Parts: sequence; structure tokens; C-alpha cells
Amino acid sequence: MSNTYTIPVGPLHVALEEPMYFQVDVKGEIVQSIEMFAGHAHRGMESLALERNFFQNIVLTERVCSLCSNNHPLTYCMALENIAKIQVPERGQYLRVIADEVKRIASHMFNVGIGLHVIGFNTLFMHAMEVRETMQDLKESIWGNRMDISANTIGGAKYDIDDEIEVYLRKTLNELKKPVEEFRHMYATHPQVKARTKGVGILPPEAAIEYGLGGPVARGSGIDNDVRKETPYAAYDKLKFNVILGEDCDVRSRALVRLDEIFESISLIEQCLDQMPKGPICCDPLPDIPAGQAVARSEAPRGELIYYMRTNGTMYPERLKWRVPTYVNWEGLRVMLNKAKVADIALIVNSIDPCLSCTER
Amino acid sequence: MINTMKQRVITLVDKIPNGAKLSWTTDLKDNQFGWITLNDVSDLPFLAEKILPEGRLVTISACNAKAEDAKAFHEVCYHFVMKGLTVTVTVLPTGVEPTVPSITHWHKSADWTEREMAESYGITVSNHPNPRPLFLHDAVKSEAMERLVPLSTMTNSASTNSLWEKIMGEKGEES
Repeated sequence: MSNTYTIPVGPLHVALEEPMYFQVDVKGEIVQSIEMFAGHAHRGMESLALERNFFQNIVLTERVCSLCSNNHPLTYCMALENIAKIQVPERGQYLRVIADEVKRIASHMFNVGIGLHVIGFNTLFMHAMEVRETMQDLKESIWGNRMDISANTIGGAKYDIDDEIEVYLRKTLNELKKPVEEFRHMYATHPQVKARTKGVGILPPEAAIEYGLGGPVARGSGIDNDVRKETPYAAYDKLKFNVILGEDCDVRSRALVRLDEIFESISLIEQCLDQMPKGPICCDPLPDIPAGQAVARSEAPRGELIYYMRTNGTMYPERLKWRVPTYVNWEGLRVMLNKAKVADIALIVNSIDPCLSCTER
Repeated sequence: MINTMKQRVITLVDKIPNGAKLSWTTDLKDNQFGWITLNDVSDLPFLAEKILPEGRLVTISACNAKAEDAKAFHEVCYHFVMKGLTVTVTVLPTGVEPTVPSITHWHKSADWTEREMAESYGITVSNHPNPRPLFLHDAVKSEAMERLVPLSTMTNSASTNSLWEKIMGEKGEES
């Protein structure tokens, strides 16, 4: 008699804000293999994009995902700017970085917070959400929305920062440093967090390369793959920052990479405020968009985002394809969940910062 | 590093059995983009193997080639990144049913994106290790991206017949 059982995880589960179905084969309480079934959030957005003109697609792409929402229109605009050789004014490039890094801080705090919720440490989870709320308030104050901030447009940025906002931004970031430091210290040293996350969901660097994984998931296994350094865009080539790498290849390592990246993000925004020149924020007037094709890549909070666009001289894209970070990271779960305990499945799944609305579009 | 990668691409293209066309573009940040068009889709596995270890597949885009001089209905673009150098390889699927060979054997990240291409565009991926549909239910016909069913059409047909018959039927029963 076989003592291997198949258990269902999902499609609706606490660690997934969105639906994904895992068929998990277990022996006792140890995972032997998994199979994944997607398709519950498929919206046909790539097809919709072909029915919308270049400006309408800025709005559409921002709605691919809520947490990475800023990176989608940014990378979309970059692809279009590559085709039409549109030069983004320098101030617009810095403004793009500021919006991107604010979103990254909020996204990372959310993922680490949910991880704590999954292991039942709700006090620290609430603490994470409280720290994140600072960024949510900031977004609402500067851009008028807590998630989709509409910071980008073709040829530059759609918002500007005046003296009053700059003072507010600097003050908020300054006040954020201590709570994030305290939170990071608690996460790194608390015995309960350590017991649940250390040595759990191991992803060897060789497997990260073999599966082509990206973002903090791969960086948690020591893979240096930050698009901001590898293929600089916006103002990242003028700013100093470190690519954070982990060594332990586990859930804890991936979370600590995200937390340490928050300090880099704060520094990047402060550098932008120090260096940002006065001047136009957007290319005006815009040239006609010729027929052509281009690829653009950016580092979204979850990792590498790539857009491929083909144009044909009309106001509508002939093809718009994008690949989100989570899309490649799902398959990495086969490695991370191998020989894991059933009780750790949700935690390990959360550690890739999963996003279904991104993956399925 | 980028120049080393560019040289690797040039050497690789020279070795492709049936030949290929190679061109380069840059963006305004001087990032480099390589564009390879294979003469024969059968050379794709050769390229997929030889572009390793630096080249990793990031995604695949199937396109409806609408240009008047296009040689086929579909084109398939394979996007690789080699340490910051982005390389796009374009092929034309061949056969009565448009077919491309699977490269999942060398690039595990091709697994999902090849399956999505097959179900969305009806392009057959030969030798795929796990060819089941990715997003769509088995009952949904393939080539979903090739068929446009406007929502208004779908809801009109449902409401004009089924819904109104139900409402009028219930009304009749009550009276």
C-alpha cells in the first residue's frame, strides 16, 4: 500500500492574494512533488492592448498588477521611446526613479509582512503594515492614489515635485529609517521568525540560474542580476547603490534581501532629490511613432520586467508582449518545495512574492 | 562585458548551419540590443544550446506578421539576455500547422511561455516535455488570441434569448 497522498493547496489560499492551484504529492508531511494549475485570473490583457492606442495603453498596463503597477507603464513607455528615439528630459528620469523606489519600498514591506502573517506572527505583521502605511500615505499625498500612481507618460513623468513636496518627502523618508531598522533587526533576530524561515525553501544558486529566476528570489541565492545595474535606465546610471545579495538561499535570505533593499531605495530617492536638475519633466512635442520594434527591461519590486513592442506606423501597437518577474519564478517552487514540510508550503510560496494578475495578464 | 557578449553573438551567428541575419541597435542609454533572424527554424535548438551559459531566455513573443513582405502569418521572437545584452531571435514557424521546436530542454524558463504560445496562437511546439495547456481550460479551443468574441456580442446573445425567455416565462407563471 502506497503511503503517498495528493493534497490540494489553493486556488484560494491565505498566502496568495490571488488564485493558483497546487497539486502537492506528500509522503507523511514531506512534499515529494508539485504540479501547478494557473488560469484563474487570465484577463487577455495582451489582446486588449492591441485594441488601444499608445496613450490608452499607459492606463491599461498600469492595471496589470497593483504592487508593481508603476513599472508596467514605465517599461511600456521605455519600449516606445526606444522605437521613436524619444529623449526623456533629465528631470523626468529622476522623477521616474523616485516613483519606482517608493513603490518598491511599499511592495517589499507588504511581502515580508504577509510572510509573518503566514507563520502566525501577527504582531510583527501588523508592525510591517504600519511601516508600509507611511509609504501608502506618501503615495496618496504626492500622486493622489495609494496603488496606481500614474507617474509615467510617454517621454517622461506625469508629475512634478515642488519645494513643499520635497520637504515632505525628505521628512517622511527620514522618519522611515528608524522603524525599518527596528523592523529589520526584529526580523533578523527573533527566534520564532528564525525557526520558521531559516533553512526553509532552499533554492541553490545553480537552480536559480537553470530556471532563469529573477529579482530578490534569485538575489537571495547570491545571483547578481539587478536590471538597474545591468542595463541602466531612467537615472540609475547617475546614482550610487548596492545590489543586495543573500547567501543562505532560503525564505529568510529572500526576506532580508527585500528589507535591505529598502535602505538602498531610501538612499536612491534622497540622491534623486539632491541631484535632480530643474527643467522640463516630459518630452514635448512628441514625434510620430514610426514602424519598428524594441525591447525594454526594468527592475520591478519582484524582479526583471521585460516589454517587447512592435509598431507599424499607426497609433496602435502591432504587438505588445510583456513578461513579469513572477512568471519565471513559479517554476522555481519545484526546487524550493522539494522535501519541504506541508506546514511550510504557504510560507515558501509567499517567499517568491507571487502575483497571479501579473503572471496571467 | 557587453563587448565580450557581442563578440560571442557574432561568433555564434557565423556558426549557424543555415545562416542568419544579425543587426544591432542601442537605446538612448547606450544599452545594446542584438536582432537575429534565422533563415531556418530548424537551427533554433542549435542556437538555444550554444547561447548558454551566459544567454538566458527571458520570454517568447508570437506575432501576427502583418507586413506585406512577411513570409508567414506568424513570427516567433525569442528574447535572450546575456549579462545585460538583450538578443532577440526571430524565426518563421514551418509546416502545414505552424511548428517551432521546443527549447525547454536547454532553457527551463521556456516551458511556460512555449505552452502559452501554443494555446494562444495555435503554434505547435514540437518535442515539448509537458505540452498541456497553461492558462486555458482543456475545453477551450486553442488559438484563443486568434479569435475575437466581443463581450457585447457574447452578453447580447445570452440576454436576448435565455434571460428574457426566463423572465417572460416566470412572469407568465405568476400571472
